[in-house]
Amino acid sequence: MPLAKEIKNDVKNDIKAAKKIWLPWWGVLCLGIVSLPLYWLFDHFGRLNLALPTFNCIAVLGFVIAVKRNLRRHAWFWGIMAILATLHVPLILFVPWTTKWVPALAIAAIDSGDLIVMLTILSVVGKFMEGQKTAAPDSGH
Amino acid sequence: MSVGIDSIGLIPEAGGIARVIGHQAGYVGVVADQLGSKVVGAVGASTGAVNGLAGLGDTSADGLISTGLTVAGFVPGLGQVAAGLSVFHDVYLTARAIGQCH
Repeated sequence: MPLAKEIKNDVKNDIKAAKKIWLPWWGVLCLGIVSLPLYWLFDHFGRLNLALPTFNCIAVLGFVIAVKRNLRRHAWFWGIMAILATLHVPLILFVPWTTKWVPALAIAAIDSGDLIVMLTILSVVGKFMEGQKTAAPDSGH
Repeated sequence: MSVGIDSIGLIPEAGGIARVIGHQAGYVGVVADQLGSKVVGAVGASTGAVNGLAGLGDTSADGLISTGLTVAGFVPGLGQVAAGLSVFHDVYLTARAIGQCH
């Protein structure tokens, strides 16, 4: 199972890289200040319960892009990111999210699970794309 | 209370509050940072554990999910973002409640 091992190592390295990413205090402050009018907007439409899941999904997608930034020149990477972002829409809309207080630690654990699933998908697709590249015949240039 | 617990995720590992805690224990520089960071981590873990334990009595789906995820590990940067968003969410809810009183 060398391929499975490679994917496992890839994901482990990505998680290690993700654990090293920290936002500066002013970054968190800006994030919070930007989120305030958006909370009001969600509340105005009576969907405040969707605000936190939406912002957290956006944050996790941003985190994935930051961790896998070495793949930014590959079109397939952005294709997969678009698919993953689209898959999050029904997840946000159809899961009955609560408006009650949930500890940030629990939200972070959900986000981390989401991040690991996305990193695994990207790693699997990455290996598949690499395999296709090496198996493809020389174009003759 | 909820803002206080959520904001634990905002405390960085080096400098700031972590360093102040280290200095209080009589250490300086990196050693102070490391000690302070351990104390902050322990407080975060204990409040998480308290929340998780509080959730043990809650047999609703939300309570069970919350309890299960509290004992799971997480990526610190995501914890920081989740804490920031949660704190401002709580601030918005508080401001809205105060607005409704007036």
